[in-house]
Amino acid sequence: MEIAEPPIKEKSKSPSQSVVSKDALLSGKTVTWLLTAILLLAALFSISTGAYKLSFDQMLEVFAQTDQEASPIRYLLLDIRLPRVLLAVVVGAGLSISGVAIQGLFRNPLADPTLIGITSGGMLFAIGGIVFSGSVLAGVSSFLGYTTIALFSFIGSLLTTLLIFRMATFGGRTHVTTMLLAGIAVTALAGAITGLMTYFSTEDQLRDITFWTLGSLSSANWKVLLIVSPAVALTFLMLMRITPALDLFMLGESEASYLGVNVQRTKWIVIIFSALAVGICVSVTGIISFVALIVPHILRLLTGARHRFLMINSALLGAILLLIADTAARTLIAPAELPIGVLTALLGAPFFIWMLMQARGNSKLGI
Amino acid sequence: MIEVHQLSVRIAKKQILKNISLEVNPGEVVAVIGANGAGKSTLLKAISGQTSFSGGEVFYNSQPLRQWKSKELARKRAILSQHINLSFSLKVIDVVMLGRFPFFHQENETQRRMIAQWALEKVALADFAQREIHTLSGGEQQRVHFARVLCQLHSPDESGDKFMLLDEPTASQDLSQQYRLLTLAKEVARELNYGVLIILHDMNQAARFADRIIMMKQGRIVASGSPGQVLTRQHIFQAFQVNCLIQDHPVFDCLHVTALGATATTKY
Repeated sequence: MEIAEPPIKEKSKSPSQSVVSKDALLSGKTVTWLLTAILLLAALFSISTGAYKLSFDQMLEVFAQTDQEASPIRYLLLDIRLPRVLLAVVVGAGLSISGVAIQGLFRNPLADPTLIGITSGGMLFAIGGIVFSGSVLAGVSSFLGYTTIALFSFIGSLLTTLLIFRMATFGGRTHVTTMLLAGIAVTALAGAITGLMTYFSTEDQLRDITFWTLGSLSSANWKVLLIVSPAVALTFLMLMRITPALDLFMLGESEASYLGVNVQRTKWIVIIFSALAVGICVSVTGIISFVALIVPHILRLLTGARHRFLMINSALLGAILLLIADTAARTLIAPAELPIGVLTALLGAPFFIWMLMQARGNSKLGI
Repeated sequence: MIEVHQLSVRIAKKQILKNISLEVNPGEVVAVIGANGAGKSTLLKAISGQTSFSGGEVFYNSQPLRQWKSKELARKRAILSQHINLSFSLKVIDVVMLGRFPFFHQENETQRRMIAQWALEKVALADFAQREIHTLSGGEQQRVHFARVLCQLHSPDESGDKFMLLDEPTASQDLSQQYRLLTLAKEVARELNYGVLIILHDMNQAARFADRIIMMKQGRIVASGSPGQVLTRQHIFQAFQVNCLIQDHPVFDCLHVTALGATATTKY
């Protein structure tokens, strides 16, 4: 009998002799440069646009002033437009990098902080903070001011993330159906409790609550930026440190641990810092949905799923997207303002439906 | 060398493994066979450090498993699992490069890429480097992961023996892919002097590719030794409750087992 030997192996070469092939139409780095340029242009455009148009010359004039003389233009530029643009950039980046990390942890592109209830958890606690700040929490509130609400929101997001992750992950893998259903449950619960709280809230608090559920960047000022920026910057730094480990999570937790990843530590970093960024952003802007879903998905299609550039580029694209959305929100029906959460949902929900259509029959998404 | 001394594993008050002792030397292929539920996969998980054990000890190069740092251990032993489902699609070369994680801070992207390319050449998939892994067949994907495992252990300058643990790598693969993968495993053991521990279902594959076989039943070792010593009618009946016929292989220099069924008469 003759046995045909398949060509198992070519003569092996040592690694140094191999040809290194470069690939990809768009490298991660190219996209980073491209997005940075777009972000700068979008920021300039956004600063100049609004109910009152600012020309480039006017902007330069204000920055060139040395005597810091108060003028309406100076006030508009430095105290209204600039903080708002910066807040859009920081919040857009914060939400997107959290999306990347959470999707990496859940091993699923549908794990969006809004869809799985992390945002609602943050909002619920933030609203609880507002409502009770008139009574039980009065002392804490006056002492810590803005920070109290932010802290509450962070705790709410953290608890929700932990809850959803615990519920959805068993037997060594994350069950997408459970994850999304748990998200629906948490969102419904948060909605119900929020509704209940509106009965106990004063007129002013009611306005705050409405603002929260629709999302807006109108509370932008330097004080707020001082809270949000460090939280997002810290999240970015911590998440960047674990991007190689997140790459390995794509293989599954067991495989990652076989390769020397400290799986528990990585999980905790993702959970704590995503909740930090989402929670703090929510406490300032309310619910802005779908940014964290759309941005990483587009970039994965463009430059691949490896997390290093995915994280950097998501921060940039998230910033751009929210900046454009916010500019539209405050100019489309000027001098009134559209809630930005409404705009991102109008854009994001069809995108999500499209993703679900794509996912049909694709076991990769686990649906 | 991997040395396992009197290893016992209890999971949820159930004794899964009891007093297992074995060793894997560099350059040899050791196959673990046994019926479903014999504890083969648990044994592999315990040896790899994934499952904690209630008694006994596992040594890698004379150092107890518990004393190894996870990244250090990852440079010495790699594991190929049965099914790996990537959560996001990656290029083949990127999947293989994931194997370099234990060396992450010591080398740059270009060096990683070179080693990954070398590993892909080893498994004859160099031409697929730029393909998305999801476009490959199941057998090819498994070979990509085999390349990733090779990539993980590649460190010619480091001293100390290295080991590959393969958990039923041929399950749900067609005949030609099974053959390719096992041949590769054997070549790696011989050429790179790696110790290979492999869980197999097929006794004939074990007979052909393993230097030694460990036969398990209900968490214990029934027999251990060369294929000739382990693959006897008594042992096989003890472990699988199947009568069989054992002959010399008509082509290769190994044994061939023909299962006759649980109720077959033993007139052979």
